[in-house]
Amino acid sequence: MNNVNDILNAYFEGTALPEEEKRLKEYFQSNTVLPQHEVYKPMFAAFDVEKQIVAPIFVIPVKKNNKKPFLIRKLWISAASIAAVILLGVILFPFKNKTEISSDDYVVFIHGKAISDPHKAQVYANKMFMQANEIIRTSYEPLVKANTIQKEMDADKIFDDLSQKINHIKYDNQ
Amino acid sequence: MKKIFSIMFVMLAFATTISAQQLEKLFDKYMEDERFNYVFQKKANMMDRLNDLESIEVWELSKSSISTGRQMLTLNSADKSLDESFTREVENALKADKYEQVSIVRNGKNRVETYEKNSDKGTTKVSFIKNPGNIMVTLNSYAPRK
Repeated sequence: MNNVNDILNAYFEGTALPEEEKRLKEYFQSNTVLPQHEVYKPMFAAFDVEKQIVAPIFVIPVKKNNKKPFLIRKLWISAASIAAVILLGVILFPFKNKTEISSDDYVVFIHGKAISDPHKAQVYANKMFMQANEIIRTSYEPLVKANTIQKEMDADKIFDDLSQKINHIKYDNQ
Repeated sequence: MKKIFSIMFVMLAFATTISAQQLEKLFDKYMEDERFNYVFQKKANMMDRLNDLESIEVWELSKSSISTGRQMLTLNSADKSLDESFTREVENALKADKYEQVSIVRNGKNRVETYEKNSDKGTTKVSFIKNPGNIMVTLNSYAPRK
């Protein structure tokens, strides 16, 4: 018993030899463990279990093949090429639609003289129509404002909105 | 008797056609006059028509109709008598063509009148803008969308 005590002391001090450690483990696995040594039994049992734990196998993940199938890649390349051509077309020919103005799309006479250039006629016509629209818009602005105020100040609408809000609050409280 | 009715019907149709074109005749009369400026657009595109929009009703009209052209006649003149005579001519043409007056707005010295006429062929809208020394008449035609 003294021998076991000495080995235990050496074990806890970290000076026990491997053979002594082996003897201790065999002792605690046997049925002859003395009552005063019972407290150490779970510790040596745990060491034994620890020994049995097998380290998990670390598997290196296989590198995924991110390459898309050939057909999809080909489609992507084709779509990108078409988009690039369209973009190039838009950049290089931004005024193409302007050349498509027909000579009879616009008829403009300024002080009795006809404007023969369709582009100039278009610019002048748009300017004139916009000017007229602006006069009409500014003239009707007070009327539009008055209508808006009238709609906002409508008593029926105000009461309807209020009753809806009250109903909503009541419903929420229930 | 049948012949008389036929002739009367043709004459009535002719008279109606003639009277319905009074305003357009006015445009034709003054388009090349050096005192006036004239602008015609064969078909107002979507953006042009958006500029014309003033209310939901007009938006609804624009959804259900196609622009069949718009024209505008402008008189910039210091000659008061010319202003007055041209104004009278426009008013007479509007009456003859049986346009319905939709609104009149006076804003300072500026006066804007709008007129409208509906027929089987579509809707015609006229804006008559009167400023001192400046008169504008715009005519917008719309055909029903098929």
